[in-house]
Parts: sequence; structure tokens; C-alpha cells
Amino acid sequence: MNKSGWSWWKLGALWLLNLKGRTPDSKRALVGHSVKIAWIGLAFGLAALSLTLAIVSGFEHQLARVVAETGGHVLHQNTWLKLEDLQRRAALAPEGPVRELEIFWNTNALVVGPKGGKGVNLEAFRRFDDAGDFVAQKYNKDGLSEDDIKIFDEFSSSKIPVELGSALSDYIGAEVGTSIRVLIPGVTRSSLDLEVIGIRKLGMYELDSRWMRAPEQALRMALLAKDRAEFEARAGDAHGIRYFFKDEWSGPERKTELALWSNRYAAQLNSSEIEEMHNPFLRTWFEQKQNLFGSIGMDKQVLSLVLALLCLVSALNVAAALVILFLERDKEVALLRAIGMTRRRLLLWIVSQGFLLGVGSVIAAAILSRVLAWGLLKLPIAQIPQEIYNLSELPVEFVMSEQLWVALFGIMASCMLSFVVGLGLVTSPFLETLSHRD
Amino acid sequence: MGKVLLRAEGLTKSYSQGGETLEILKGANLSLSSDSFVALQGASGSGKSTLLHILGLLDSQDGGKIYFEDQSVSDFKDDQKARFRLAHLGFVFQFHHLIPELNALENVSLPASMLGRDGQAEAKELLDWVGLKDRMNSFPWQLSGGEQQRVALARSLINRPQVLLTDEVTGNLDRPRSLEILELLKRIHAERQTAVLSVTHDEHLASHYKNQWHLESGLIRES
Repeated sequence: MNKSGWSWWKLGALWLLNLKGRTPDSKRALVGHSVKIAWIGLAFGLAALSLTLAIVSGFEHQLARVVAETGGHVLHQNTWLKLEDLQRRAALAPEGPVRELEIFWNTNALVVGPKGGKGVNLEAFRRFDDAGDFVAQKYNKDGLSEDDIKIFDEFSSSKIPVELGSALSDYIGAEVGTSIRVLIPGVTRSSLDLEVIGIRKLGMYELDSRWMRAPEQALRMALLAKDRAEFEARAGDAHGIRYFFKDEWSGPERKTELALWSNRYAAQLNSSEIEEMHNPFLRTWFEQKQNLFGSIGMDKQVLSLVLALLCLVSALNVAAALVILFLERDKEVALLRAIGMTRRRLLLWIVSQGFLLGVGSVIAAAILSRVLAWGLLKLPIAQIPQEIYNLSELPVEFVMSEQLWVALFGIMASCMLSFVVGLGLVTSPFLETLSHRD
Repeated sequence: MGKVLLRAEGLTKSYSQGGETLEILKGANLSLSSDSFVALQGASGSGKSTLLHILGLLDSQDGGKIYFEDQSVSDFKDDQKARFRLAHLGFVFQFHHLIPELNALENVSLPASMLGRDGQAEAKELLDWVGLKDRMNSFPWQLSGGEQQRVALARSLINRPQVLLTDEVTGNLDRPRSLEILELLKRIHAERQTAVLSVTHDEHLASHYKNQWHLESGLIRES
């Protein structure tokens, strides 16, 4: 921009800011205040919208991470299958950002700790670095590889390591190192001894209060040693496969890509004869908790709409302030038109002032929303029920694409309303104004 | 006689007031050339300012034509008229209407920036020329009435207009300040070869102009 262009931006900014020392007019100072108040109002409105989106997105991401981390980014579940069948299915998984996979089975169980007992969902799992690692494994008649036997042999006679959800550990009074006992109806008639090796906070109470999992190989060895006939009577080795992706695939923005991966996998499975007898179901993390994420999405839309309306009201205040500003400067505007400012240029200039106000509001809103977020995180003003969400703090997450939409909305609203103000101004007669004294 | 710059033929203009139609201009003709230095006089309400505004394309006439260097300019659209004013005409009004947030230098260079030019250097020269070398960075409210009017004069000259139209520029000034402004107008006409048409009700000042035009009964009479 050349120097002459800058002078217009400067004049626009001077009128908006109404700097002390540039005019001693007290009436103009009042007008300047009204512009600043409107500007601050818009900034607060945009900050509220920005922060609300960040909080809802934070929850959405937090829950998505928990669901993906516990249920897998893509869950492939069957009825009982043999390990060889699962290997053939894993071999059909498309290339992609798979980080790890695990095979699993789960069952209802009763766990007893020092403070009491509780019905839980016991899950047995085997984790592999990738699909190739699982597919390449050779298993003996007990469903164990040579490595499994070396690593887990001791558990046939000792306590099985187990992880508990934090709410469950609180309920039964277990800590890391505590011995607990579990009864698994339908799998073994006698109880098993386990040792708590970890407690996990998953962030969702309904998960944390029933979550318990153990290495499948250790459990298998213990169950085979305890009651081989009952264990071998099962219809298969595992219920399905969980595919884990890199962390960023947990965000709602990746769910479409993840669904595509999942669909490609389903197509491979369906085109393979191995699926004719056992129809699998595949679910992405989003589909595993579709109702939850659907309601969060709806909450986000409704809140955004309400706050966008609030911002629109604030932007109307900006327009009203601009009307006052230009009414106060009607003689200068008339003079500018008299000496040769075209209507188009005047309109552009007014819109540019709306743009400046919009940009200023967006910048202020960005700072304000982050300060408020910091306050919410650091100060005890937004306590959330930890027993429900199991979160120590609000999961605020500013998502760039959402924040850009907020910024664009603020600037567009400000520009469009200043355009309306400008249209009124450029079509009004100006000659009369020049004949009057200031 | 110099080259004819601004020519008006058969200008008519009327206003409705209280249900009556007032005919202000009734076919006025005039011609302003590069060597014109004219005082336009007339009774109060005779239509002097209206005529000046029509000639400056700030107002539209009901009938008649205006030519600038033989090109009809009265049929221009609004934005064309604005660009024409910016490039060819200078205006000074009774009330200077300087922009209070801008200092003298910024006020003077503003019309240049409308043409996409950086008029800073020229604005400095003009302020020096009107005797305000030391007041360039002063804001309008820090200047006296005479100084403000001189800044307004400098502003009207920044785009080197061929015609300068002034409307009662000394109306708010005392005699000595009025004479200073008159001297400046004379210098503008003589040194910058600018045609000057000044509306004034001051007989004494008008007598210092080369030509005196009188607007009477909606027509121009030269004396």
C-alpha cells in the first residue's frame, strides 16, 4: 500500500480511536467512548463464542480420546473367533495410520477388593505393534506363541496383573499392589487372584467404574491351569480386533477420514469368503458412542447459534456507534465529498473502518477468550463434577478451524453492518451541511 | 483574453418553498477564463451560493449546460462529478471544515491522497506559501480563524486546480484577516494561473477583484 492509502487508514483509525490530543472536543470524546464500548461489546461476544466452542471441543476431544483409547479407533467385533480367523481378518486391514492393534474378549465378572465387591466388565487383551506383527505369529494348541510362553509362564501359578478404572479402584478400595479376587461366571467355577498393577482415569464415570483389564495370555495360562476343560469349551479365542491410530485421529475433524478407512476395511472383509459365515460389525470411535457425540455436536451447534446471535447484536451496536460517529463528523464527510471523494470510495472507506473494528474485536476476543480460559483452568470458578467426568480441569481446546470461523464471522458482521451504515451515508445529501458552522 | 475554462449556458434553478416556487436562476450565462479573477455579488438570497455550487458540480441545475474546456460536464454521473471536482476544481467555503484530528499538513495533503498521490512535499510548500511554515504540525483547533482559512486555501490548491471557487471565505474574519486572504487569492490567481470566482457580499473586497459580476433576478450582470 502506498503512503496515500495509509493516510485513509490512519484517518479512519483516528476517528475510531478518538485519541486524546488529536481533538479537544468533549462531545467527540463521548462519541469515541460509544465506539469503544460497542467495540468491547463485540469483542466480549466473540470471546464468549470462541471460549464456548473451545470448551465444547475440549470435551469432545477428551471424550473422543478416551473412547478411542479404550475402544479402539476402529472396533471390529465378531462372535467368538479362533486366533487364525482373526489373523486372516487383520491381514485384510488397509494400509494406513494404524499405530497398534489388539485382540480382545470380554465378559462380566465380579471383583472383590479390601472395601467390597462390584460387578465389572473384565476385558482380556493382547496388544501388537501392528497388523503384520499379529499376522506373523504362530500359536500352539493352547493359543500361545513361543514368546507368550516365555513372558507369561509365571502367571499360571501366580497372581495375574490387572489394571482398574479409577472409580472402580476407589469403590473396592484397591491401590497399585493390592491383591484382589475375581469370579468369572461361565469361564471358571473358582475365583482367580489378581494384583493391581495400574489405575487409569478414563474421564468417563460409566467406564471408570466398571473397567478392568488384564493381559489375555496371563489370564489364559491361569485359566488353563485352573480348569482346562471349562476354558477349552469356549467357542473361540477372542471377540474381535481393535485398531489404534495416532492420537490426532481422535478428533471430530478426522472422523470422516476414519470412516473411509473403516469402509475400505469393511469392503475388503465383505469381498472375502471368510466373512460369509461371520458378519462382523465395524465401528469407529465416533460410532461407538454416537449418541453421546451426536448430543455434544447438537449442543455445540445450538450454543454457537445463540452466541452468534449475541455477537450479531453486538455488531449492531457497532453499526449504531458508527452512525453516531459519522453523524458527529457530518461536516467533514460533506467536505470530503465536496472536494471529490466518490460515493464508492466513501463507502469503501466506511467499510474499511468496520473492517478495522472487526479485526480489532477479533484480536481482543482472541486474547480475552484465552485469558478467560486460563482463569477457568486456574481459578476455582468453574468446578466440574469430578465423579461424573473424572476430569481435574475443564478440557479447553481451541480448534484452529473453529476459531477462524469465529474470526471471519466477527469481521464479516462488522463489515456488512458498516456497509449498511455507509449506504445510508453516501446516499444522503451533503451540500446543506457545508453551509453550517461547526 | 485567456483560454475559456468554465462556461455556463442558460442555467435555471428553482426551489419550492411554502407551496411557492422560487426561481433562483432564470437562464444565467457566464464564462470563466484562465485570467478571470471575479467577485460574484448579489443580494442576500439571490442565489450566489447556489450558482457557485452548480458551477462546482456540487448541486444540479434544472436546465442549461455547463462546459469545462468545451466538454459538457453537467450530465456527468455523481462519481464522475466527484472525480472532476477533485482533479480540476478547488473549493473554499465560509466555514473551513478542516478535519480536527489531522494537523495542518495532513489536512492539506488529504485531497492529493484521494488522487493516489503522496502530497506531503507539495503540502509543505503550499503551507509555506500561505505563510504557515511554522504551523504545519498544529491541529486546526490550535490555529486562529485566519490561519484555518489559509490552511483551507492551501488544501484547495494541492491538486493544482484550474478554477478556484470560494464562498464567503472572509465572512467570519475581521478586516485585516480578510485582506490577507484577499492578497492570497490575488497571488493564487497571478502566480498559479488559476481562475478565481469568489462569492462575497463585501463591496470593499469585491472592488479589489478584476471583474465584478452581479446576480440579479436570476441573471448575471457584469460590471
